[in-house]
Amino acid sequence: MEVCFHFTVMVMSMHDIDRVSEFVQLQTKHQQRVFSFILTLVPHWPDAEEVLQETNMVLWKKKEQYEPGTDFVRWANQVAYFEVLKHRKRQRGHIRQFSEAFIEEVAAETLSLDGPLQAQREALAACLAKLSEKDRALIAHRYLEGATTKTVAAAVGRSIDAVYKSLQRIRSALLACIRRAVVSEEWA
Amino acid sequence: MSQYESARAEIEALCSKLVEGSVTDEERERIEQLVRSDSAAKRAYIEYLNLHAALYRYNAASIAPLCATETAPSDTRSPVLGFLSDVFQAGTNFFSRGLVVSLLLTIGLPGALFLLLILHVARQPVPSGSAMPVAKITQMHECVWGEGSAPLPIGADLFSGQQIRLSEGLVEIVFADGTNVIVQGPSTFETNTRGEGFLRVGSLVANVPKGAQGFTIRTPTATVVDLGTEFGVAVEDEKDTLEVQVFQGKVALKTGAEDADRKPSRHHLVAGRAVRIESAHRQGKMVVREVAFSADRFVRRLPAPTKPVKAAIIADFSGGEGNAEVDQFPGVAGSGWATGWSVGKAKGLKCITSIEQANPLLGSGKYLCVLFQRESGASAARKARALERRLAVTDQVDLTKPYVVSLNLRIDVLNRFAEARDRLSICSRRVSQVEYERERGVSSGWHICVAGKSDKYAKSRNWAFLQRDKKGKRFGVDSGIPAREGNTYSFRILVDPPARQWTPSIAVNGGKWTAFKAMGMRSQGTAKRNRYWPFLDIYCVMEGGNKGEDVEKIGFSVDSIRITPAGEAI
Repeated sequence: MEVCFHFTVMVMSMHDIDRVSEFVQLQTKHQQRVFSFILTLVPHWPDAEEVLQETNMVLWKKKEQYEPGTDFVRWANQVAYFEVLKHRKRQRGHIRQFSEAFIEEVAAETLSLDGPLQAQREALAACLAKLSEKDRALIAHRYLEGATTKTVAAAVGRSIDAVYKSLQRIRSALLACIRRAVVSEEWA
Repeated sequence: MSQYESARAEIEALCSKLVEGSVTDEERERIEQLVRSDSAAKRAYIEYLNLHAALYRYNAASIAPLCATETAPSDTRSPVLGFLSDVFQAGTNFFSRGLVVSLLLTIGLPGALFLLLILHVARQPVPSGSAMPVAKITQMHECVWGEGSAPLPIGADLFSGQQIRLSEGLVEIVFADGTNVIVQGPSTFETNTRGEGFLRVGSLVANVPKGAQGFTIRTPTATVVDLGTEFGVAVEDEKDTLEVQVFQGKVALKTGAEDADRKPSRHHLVAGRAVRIESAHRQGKMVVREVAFSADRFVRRLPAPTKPVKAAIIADFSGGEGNAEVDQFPGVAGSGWATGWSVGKAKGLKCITSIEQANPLLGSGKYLCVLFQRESGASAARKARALERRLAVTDQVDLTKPYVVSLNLRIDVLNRFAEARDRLSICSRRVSQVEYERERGVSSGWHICVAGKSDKYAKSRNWAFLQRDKKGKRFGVDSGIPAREGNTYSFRILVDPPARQWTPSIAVNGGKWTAFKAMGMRSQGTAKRNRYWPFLDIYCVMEGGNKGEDVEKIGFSVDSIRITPAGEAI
């Protein structure tokens, strides 16, 4: 069945279109960096997603304030930080949270580490390739939407405890690998 | 092990518990203590969470392909490969959903170019190859989507290998490298990478900005590579025929790229020139000949609107059941809806939904019939379940400004509906079970309900309006209108977010409207600052339990849901 949509098209200058186009590109390109920053402060994944949504909305509303050529990620992360604080305020009393001092310190440190953290993310592919097929499959299972240690355990036919330990081991191995990769790249 | 390594090992073990949700309060405190007192632990914590985020985002894009290339040829699916392929596909969908939802909420100002409404994309078959969008739909003009192509909204992300079929109209696509492509229907076009598209049939114009040179349009006949320019490409249906026209700059043209049997040839084409490429099958090669340049051959800009489009968010269920169109049940995102309908989950509380035609509400055709029913037990345990749909904040209707919600609702059954907590509510509240505890009372702007037992505000089974006064005190207002089985109630709610007020009107069985005074918002929640309540919920709460065959039931039918800017005719 064919469906027809009629949309209003706003007349914009080419300059505006270029700016909006650039903004969309930047926002799309840096989603992962912003999400990573948020998750560092809000470790619960669904909550981090929610904060990312709110952050994106604020970024879009404030897009005129962004000066092309300036550090988009830093600006986006600063917006994200305030959205994290708002999210924490909403959740206060419902769940256990890290202290505000902790959040403040970790946020500042994460902002200052944006470059190295990006390098680590880029090194992840090569490190994943070094995992055994079994370990890769376990990680693949774990990072599906809605997956938990319990669902992974059921899927791979192992005990929850065994899966938990394996995931801990694999993540530590990946961390060690990407740290080595980034260090060797820095010295290359 | 050095002190540094020891601290790092401990923080990694704790972080593992943190991300798996099994950390205890003591362990959380230990993380705080370590992170705040030890810079190495702080960095280790950040790196761990960074890895966790990257794995979520990276899983779909990287893990499976890595395995696939290393373990077996792509045409044979080993159990592991099959599994990984499935994982990859699911992961891709997952990522697209995450991005979709987040960008969805980035929706811009009314009438603006980019309305980032992308939930729908998550329902699209996302081809394997990349989890990152490579392009985005930024404008449309009188689009009619082709058969088999689900409608895409403005703002939809397009992924690698995603195909759009356009029967009529124009779609503007901006690629990640900044290239602007206007596809003119009828066309079938695929977005391949951030700098490449495939035009199977139809025509398009590509405008390539500085820095994006090399943007490529592939066709079944030839490949057009931009050298800094604006150019048009047209592929004729069922013929190996292609026309290329250059408006500005220069392009490189390579024939035979898609077919190894054809001898390749290379050409350069400059501004003001046009060529036609045809297949000469007998010779097994392509013939390129120059044709007259025609400025009118291609559409280079989307036309400005000739008349304002009436904004309205509508659900009248005319599309029946399905998830391909906006006006179906459960439907999809689009036309002002940020999602399709959902009915949540609640253990022990069954929900039966169907689209019906017989006995329509006020003669309006198809409608949605919903029956909530306690599955078993005489337990008084409270159960709640919602029919819910999320609205896009500033798409068709700007929910931050005054707007009107109207709908028709027929009470089909209220069985064992006699407890104080037995409720049927229509509101802007979100009560999906997962979020229920967290969002309890958070997003309820306006709220109309009927309860099973009289309270200090309203008689049992009378429609009541729930609100708060300026001091924040909750109270209800009895409408005096009873909710009776078989009656159809028309509701009209003027919602005024800036004033934080809502004004309800009710008509019974198509009769005269009864208007009520303005009410305060039930609660402000997250909308306090942003001034929007982006949900439409009809939910039931059951408290009494079953008594043998006498089962707790709340059934209703709903139709003609319409959300319009205030002041427009409804």
